[in-house]
Amino acid sequence: MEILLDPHSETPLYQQLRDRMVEAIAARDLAPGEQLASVRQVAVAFGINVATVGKAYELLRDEGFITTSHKSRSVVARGPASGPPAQDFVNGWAPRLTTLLAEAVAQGVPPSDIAAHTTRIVASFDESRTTTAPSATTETDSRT
Amino acid sequence: MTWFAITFSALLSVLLGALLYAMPAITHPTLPLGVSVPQARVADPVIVASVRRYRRWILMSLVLGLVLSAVLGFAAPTVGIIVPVLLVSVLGMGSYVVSREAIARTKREGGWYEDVPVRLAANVTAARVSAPIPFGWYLAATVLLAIAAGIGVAVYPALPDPLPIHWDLNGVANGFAQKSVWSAFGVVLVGLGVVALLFALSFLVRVARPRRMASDSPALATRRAEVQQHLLGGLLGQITLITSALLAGLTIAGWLAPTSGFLPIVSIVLFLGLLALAIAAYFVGYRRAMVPRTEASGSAAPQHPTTSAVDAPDDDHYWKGGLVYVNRRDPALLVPKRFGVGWTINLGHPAGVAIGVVILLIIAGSITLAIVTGSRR
Repeated sequence: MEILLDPHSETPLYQQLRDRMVEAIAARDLAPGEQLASVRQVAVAFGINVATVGKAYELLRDEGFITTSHKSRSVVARGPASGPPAQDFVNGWAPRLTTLLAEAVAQGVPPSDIAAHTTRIVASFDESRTTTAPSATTETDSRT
Repeated sequence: MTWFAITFSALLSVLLGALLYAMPAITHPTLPLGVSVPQARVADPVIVASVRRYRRWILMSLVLGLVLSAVLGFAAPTVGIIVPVLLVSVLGMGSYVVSREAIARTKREGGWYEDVPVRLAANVTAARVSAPIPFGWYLAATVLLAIAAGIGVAVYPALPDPLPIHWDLNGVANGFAQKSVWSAFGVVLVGLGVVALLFALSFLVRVARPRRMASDSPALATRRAEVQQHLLGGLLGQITLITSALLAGLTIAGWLAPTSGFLPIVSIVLFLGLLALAIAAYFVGYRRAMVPRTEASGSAAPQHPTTSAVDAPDDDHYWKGGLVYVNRRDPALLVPKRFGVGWTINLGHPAGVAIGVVILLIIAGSITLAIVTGSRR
């Protein structure tokens, strides 16, 4: 599973790696049970600090997206079909969504547009498995 | 016989010169002469002109090397074998460093990377490419050495004592050792060691994960990695077989026709010819497997389905002179070469520094040893 990170972004690399992997799980590009490369292997493949990848894996582990065995083998632990979310997750996610929606409303985005955006994005997670473009979820500004 | 020195050094120079001349044909399109450039610029006139200039200088270095081979072959045959090759390598490296600077300067001044989206790309699943190990070459190499050993066992009782083990450039034996299993079969044993070492090395080729460039689509990156691994594995196997053939041939010649100056020369010329053939096979194989991609980038069409909408970041500052990789934040010990085939050491890695020091010590040690033994003769 291919991941792209923006080295010049203001978002830290570990956060980007965590975000892209969550998006890949939502799009079913990473399926439950799928084995992930070790922290070191991923760091070597990107050419970035081992600690950066370790931090991303730690976040994913804390959120229940992956599990790591005592042999430090990491496996995808959940996906869209793994059943209803934990109450803890909903409690943490709702305030973040509130802030995101508030940003849009405060900036004058009409409620119908907000709903349309949301529907389109959720639908895109179902489609992106068939379209072979894992970079579709990252912002790729068009060049001249 | 000065002709041997001249032929050998000339052939070696031509092999090296041809290798350096052809190298730009198999390097990544966004790394012309080891300078990272965005996909949109791969056909820039500066790049075309710089590669042309690099090649012109390689040809001039080669001509100079050949002239030197001829002159030194008559004046000082022993020095004449190594000096022309050294000259071609040093001048070749110089051509590379100077020619690439023009691209780097134009890139800096023209702001080639401004407004170009760059990404680091990698695979997070445990999947890895793996071409089959070409066992055949190693098996054939072992069989050849076994045949040599078999012949050795058969002729051992008839071998002279002391046994000639070293010959001068005219094919006259000038080194002798007391006849023993070690002096008779030493070279065959060295050959078996070489086979084992290169066989182990072929596993390293498979273990080292290829580094992916964001300018390649995932499919193209996988194909490139597979092609490189397959060809490099084959090349290592072929080099193993050719080297064993040379060692077996020289040993058998030493036993059966110790006074023939002709056989060793034929063996070595044949060795260089086969080596050139194996290297040429790598280049042709790579070009053939990757040619649609090369054509697309030649016409500067980033819409080609095998290329990606983003570029790899400009990482020139980690490559000193485009040759030596120093990146403290990179946990990789081995990284793919910028300009060439295979891997190079990350000198920003503690183990990389240690390996670098050991290699320098070995080089310094062998030069000292060569000078000391040379002055004793």
